[in-house]
Amino acid sequence: MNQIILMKDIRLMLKDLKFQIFFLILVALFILSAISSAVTYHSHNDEYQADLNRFNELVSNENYTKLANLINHRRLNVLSQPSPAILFSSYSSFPDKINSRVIFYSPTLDKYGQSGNGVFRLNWFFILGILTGFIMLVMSFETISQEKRSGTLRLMSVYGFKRQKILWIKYISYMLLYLIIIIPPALASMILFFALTGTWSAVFMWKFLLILLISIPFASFFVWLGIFISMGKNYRNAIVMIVFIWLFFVIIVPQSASIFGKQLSPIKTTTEYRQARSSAFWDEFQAWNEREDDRAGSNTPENLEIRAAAYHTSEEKRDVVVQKEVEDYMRQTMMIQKIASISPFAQFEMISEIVFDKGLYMLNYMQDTTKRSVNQITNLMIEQDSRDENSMHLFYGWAEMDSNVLSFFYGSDKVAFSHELFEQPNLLFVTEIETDDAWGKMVKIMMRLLPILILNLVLMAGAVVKFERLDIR
Amino acid sequence: MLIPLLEHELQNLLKSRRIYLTVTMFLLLFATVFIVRAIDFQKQINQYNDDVMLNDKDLREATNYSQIKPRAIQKPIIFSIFNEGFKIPRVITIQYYEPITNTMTLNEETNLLYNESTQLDITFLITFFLSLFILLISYDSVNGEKQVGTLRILMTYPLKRQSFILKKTLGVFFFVALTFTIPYFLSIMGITYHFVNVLSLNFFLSAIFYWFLVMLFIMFFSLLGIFISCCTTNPNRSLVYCLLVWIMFSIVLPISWDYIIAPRLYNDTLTQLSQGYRDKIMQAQRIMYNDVPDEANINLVGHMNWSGRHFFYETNVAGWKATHEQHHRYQMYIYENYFPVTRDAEQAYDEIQRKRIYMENVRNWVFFYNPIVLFNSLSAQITGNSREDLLRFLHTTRELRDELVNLGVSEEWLLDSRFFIMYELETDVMYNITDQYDLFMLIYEYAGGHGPLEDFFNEIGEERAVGYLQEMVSQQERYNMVLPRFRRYEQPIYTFSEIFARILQYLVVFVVSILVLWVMTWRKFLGFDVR
Repeated sequence: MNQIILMKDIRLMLKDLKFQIFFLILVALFILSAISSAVTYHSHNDEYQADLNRFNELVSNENYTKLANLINHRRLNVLSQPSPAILFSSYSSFPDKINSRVIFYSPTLDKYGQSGNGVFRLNWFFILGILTGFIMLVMSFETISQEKRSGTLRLMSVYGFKRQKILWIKYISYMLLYLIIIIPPALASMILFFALTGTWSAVFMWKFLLILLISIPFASFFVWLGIFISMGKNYRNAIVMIVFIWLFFVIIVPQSASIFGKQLSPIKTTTEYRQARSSAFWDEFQAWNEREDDRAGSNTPENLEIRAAAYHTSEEKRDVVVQKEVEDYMRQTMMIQKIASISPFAQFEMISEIVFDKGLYMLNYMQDTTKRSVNQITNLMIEQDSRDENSMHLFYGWAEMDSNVLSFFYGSDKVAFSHELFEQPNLLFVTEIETDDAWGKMVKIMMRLLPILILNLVLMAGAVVKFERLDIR
Repeated sequence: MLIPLLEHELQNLLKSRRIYLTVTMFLLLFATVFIVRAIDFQKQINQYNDDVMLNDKDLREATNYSQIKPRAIQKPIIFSIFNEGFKIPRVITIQYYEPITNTMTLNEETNLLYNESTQLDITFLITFFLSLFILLISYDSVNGEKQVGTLRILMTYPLKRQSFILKKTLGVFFFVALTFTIPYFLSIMGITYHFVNVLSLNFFLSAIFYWFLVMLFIMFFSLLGIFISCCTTNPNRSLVYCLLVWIMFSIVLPISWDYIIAPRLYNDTLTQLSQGYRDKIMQAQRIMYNDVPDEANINLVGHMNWSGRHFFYETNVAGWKATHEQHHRYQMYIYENYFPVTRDAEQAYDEIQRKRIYMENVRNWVFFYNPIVLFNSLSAQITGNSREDLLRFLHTTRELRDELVNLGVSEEWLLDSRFFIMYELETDVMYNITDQYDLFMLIYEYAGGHGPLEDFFNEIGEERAVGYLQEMVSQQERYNMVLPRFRRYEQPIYTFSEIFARILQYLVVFVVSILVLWVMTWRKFLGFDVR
């Protein structure tokens, strides 16, 4: 008997014009998102390849990999490669690349593609995260009120159906409907994307399937919401209500998060940061000069050691300021994320970051990798320099310029830092970034899913209680 | 007959709970967005004042020509509280020959880790929310009356169908227009009161144009809602149609264009243009760093350096005359070779921007029927924060730069070593290049406050020292620095006719589309079965 009602429910929904229109829209959007993501993927990939070529050119240039030149503002690149994850979201809020000087961890951040000024982007997150909630709400907002109006609800209770059962059947039929309208077009979109970009990989296929699975509790939240509202007296007022609820969770909260986050966790202006960096360096350098009788400012052979120490420590001081700056950015970003996570749909994007190794989740690991690589390269450079007999073993940014002075004035064969070529130039370009293992990720995903599951339970309990008390006459 | 009907319509609207809900939500959103943006604007004003002070301080304290880097500082546009528009950099530092494309600095709280792509301003509220509210109010205005039976009764009265539709449209229009106009003018008054110091005529012009545009926008969507309501007899169905139309207009169609069609059409050209720009920048860098001929290379003779306390000349070769000549040749080399290429780079950058403006215009023509796209684009033109305004800002800054460069050439300080040299007033000694390195070191020590003047005389012999100092004094006049008088950046002011000319063509499209929609609605209602 339950099955018959369920089938009837589903059949009725399938016949509904709303369903047919929404299904067509979803199919179109899924296909369009595959095409648009493929376009973006190609342009990002081109940029990545250009980066790679530029790097290869640099590495083959002896002038670049000379140790003495390498310590002078040469940079290490840590990149998160373009991947099919772009089909889900462009994660355009966060950088894809970290550049740092090879002798200090002093990150600068960059990204692929231009940052669009549009609020929405066409991808799976837009469909699953923003649109589907709306669709599920519009589909379910009159589910109970319609039955009540047509009298079928009364009829069913006369037949001895438990109210809870009716509610569950409604819920299950909507969830099945969700799978019907989402899975086939999503699969088509995925296949189309793989075909257009030639990036077929089983790992990503499983990841996309996983993300579809994870989207279910989010859809379920809006189905419960729709059912809950449909028990109200005036169902046309209900549609206004639900549209507002959708706007609040999906648009207003994530959109205003950055504005409120900035107010709550302010950072300084770019000019202030620039001044702070510069004064951190020069204050330290000046202090050395005062302590050492202006010897740090002089590049005569007898003063070179002091100069190297002064310059190096001043740079260290500056880089501490740079890191503090990045910490400020991070603090603000975390605040924005916290506010945004009030919306279940921002949570959804955060979960996808874990699944696809992207966004803020990836950024943390990229920073770790950059720090590690900088230390490794620095140690290797010092170690290689220590084997060079011509070197004075002075590890500082001006080493090469001062070496020129040495040779010009004093005809010295000695150089401040070795002129040999760096033995492992490939370390300067890192694309392999280690993140959590599968279990670690699973735990993090579950932690993020927990609030939406609890919300589901609360709404479900509310709906059941309200339905039990509903006057169905 | 029309006025009582209109009154009746407004009364009807006011009785509905749905209306109160939408109006409350809209007003709440309006207030929140307005307050947040006004606070943000106050911050921008503070930053602007800081920038101006910093600029003046830097120019006052400059002790040589090379330190004169005037900044073109754009005053924050007060109407950006309502319409954020295209984010134009506020400060451009003029650095003689540097291309004015990549010296743009935004003295803002820019979080480099998090790149926000949000747009939460009144324009977003109007295009995204107000459009939805209007559709939610008007989706059942005709078929709803049919459902409850009042339409049939109304049609038995001597009332033309045209008047009925007009009354419906005006009812919704006046209601929404009032809902918008009251908080809008209150906020304008609030701004006038609070930001009285930074008010300009531009603000009031923008406010009037913007209001007019919003009225057209409301009219279009009121008509659209009523048209959809005439298309089907079932209000539930028209509700779904309205939501679909709204999603298509506000989200699906614009992003399909932005992320699928436009990239297909223009990506190649844009890539070519940006490659051209990058090539020019690379070429300029090569000229600056790699291709400098030996006779003009200042690194071979010495250059200005920083000791941690003050700037000084660091020299690598003997002969101050030779050094000065080398510096002069370097300046000439840069002026003749580097400068023209950076100007080409600026042209290439402008090409990219012009292409983007062209793309925006094409987008407007493609979406001529979509008031959301038109409204977004026109409001930036009204506010003065469109891409055209960026180009205008760049051009004005370049003109100022050119004036400064020409001044430097005509007054003969830009191309000679005075550009780098500095005169220290406190010690009355010029940090100059001596004819011998040790002599230079002695002077430098002396200037740095180490060792008395007698030591200096004893070391090099009195005659030579006096001769040298005399020479320095005689040269002093030549090296004395007088700050150049250059024109400061002035904020552009738009006139009524200028703004009108900027938006005219799309305004006509807007009005025509409203008329077409009106005729369609009227025709549709003529065939509407009222039974």
